[in-house]
Amino acid sequence: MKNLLFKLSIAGDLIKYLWKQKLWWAIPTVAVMLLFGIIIVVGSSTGIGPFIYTLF
Amino acid sequence: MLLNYSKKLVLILFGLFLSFLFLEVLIRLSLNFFPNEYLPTYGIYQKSFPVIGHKNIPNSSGIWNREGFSKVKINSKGWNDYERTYKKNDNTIRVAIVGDSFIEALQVDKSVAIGSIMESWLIDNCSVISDDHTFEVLSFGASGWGTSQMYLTIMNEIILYEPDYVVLAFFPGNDLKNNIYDLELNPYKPYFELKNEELVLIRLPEIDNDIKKQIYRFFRDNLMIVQFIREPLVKLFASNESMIQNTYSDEKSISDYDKKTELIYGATWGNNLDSIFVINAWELFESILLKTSKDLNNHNSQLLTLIVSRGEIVDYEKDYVLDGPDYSLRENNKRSNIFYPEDRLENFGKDNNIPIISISRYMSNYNWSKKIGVTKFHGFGDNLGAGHWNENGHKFAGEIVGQKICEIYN
Repeated sequence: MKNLLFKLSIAGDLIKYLWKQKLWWAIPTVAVMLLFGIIIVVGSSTGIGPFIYTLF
Repeated sequence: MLLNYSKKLVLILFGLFLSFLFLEVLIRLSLNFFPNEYLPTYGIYQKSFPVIGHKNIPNSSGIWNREGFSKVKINSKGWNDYERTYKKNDNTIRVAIVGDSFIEALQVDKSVAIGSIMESWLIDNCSVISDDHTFEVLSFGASGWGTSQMYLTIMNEIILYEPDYVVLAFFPGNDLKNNIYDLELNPYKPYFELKNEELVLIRLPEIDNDIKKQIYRFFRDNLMIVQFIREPLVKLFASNESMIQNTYSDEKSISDYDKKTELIYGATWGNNLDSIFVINAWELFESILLKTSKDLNNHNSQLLTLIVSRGEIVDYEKDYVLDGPDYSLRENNKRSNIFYPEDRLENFGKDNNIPIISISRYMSNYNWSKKIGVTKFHGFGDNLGAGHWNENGHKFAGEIVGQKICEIYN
């Protein structure tokens, strides 16, 4: 948990830096990459029943 | 000031576009280099069709890696099978096998799935037919199907292929539940009910084709990033619990749902047989089976029923199954009879002239007569002994069903 918070604080510092430097185009890029990574990691670690549907 | 905000907005939108473009290119490039075990599941989706309900989208292709692994190509009619024509050759004996995810067989390559094994076995070993005749086995399976969908598919689609035999695969693990709307809560399926001993179609499948779905499908089918992100989202949000909570708001309804689920689960182990709910569930299933048999006879085709095996019974040593950790559960009336569906349907088949193939009996006899070890017919990787058939399971089941068809043809 501490490790996770540490990593998130690094990401926060990076976004703060981009904000200060007014690199507006880079902020969504970093945010999207982060979000994508979080979804993949959290989703992959969740168990799934073998009989779940593929619907939608 | 306004110009400044507009500039910021344009830069942010550009950044968003750039990140999505980067991810899309990265995913597409990396898919070529990923080893099979790291490839995500993508490209295989179902949608709802009139009458029969949900099945795979025709002509779709992709990777299945949730359990087992296969590169999937769905045929033009929406089946995980080779391309087929409706008209059969005069010298061909056609067998159709229909069922749920066990027959859909996304977990293994279709060349080693039950349909292909049956076909090869019949061609190579069924010498009762003359040299100029051959066998063809067509597979019709879709995850989550119950017997209602199988019946409607047989009479609306499979019959067009002129099958001589139709094998209906019944999976005791969930096919009773799949027939009941109150437990399934899935509107994209048809449901029957027994009223005065008559089968009545009480619910037609909803068609999931509204504008929002169409837009989503457009992006999903054209962007790998959407497909890539869908899989973890399904794992996170498409749980049975969320479906129950979306349908039932009060605690009593949820408790009723849990009670009925428990009853129907026990019913497949021979428990709760005095419950009206369980009696109705079995009678509904058997009525559909009987109707399927009669309707197929009217089309000069014969029904056989395959009872699909459960890993927790056939993939373990006899002592473990009967006296091992699950024995205490059995004492608590959790498993009165591990072969209850087989016992029940074999009697039903005898009374109604429907051949029943109980794969569990063959698999358990095979494993329980071994001196050392067992063959795992179900599961993959770290999860052997549970879940769907692996290559061993498909091969074993395919050969047994092939033998049975050959015996009947003879």
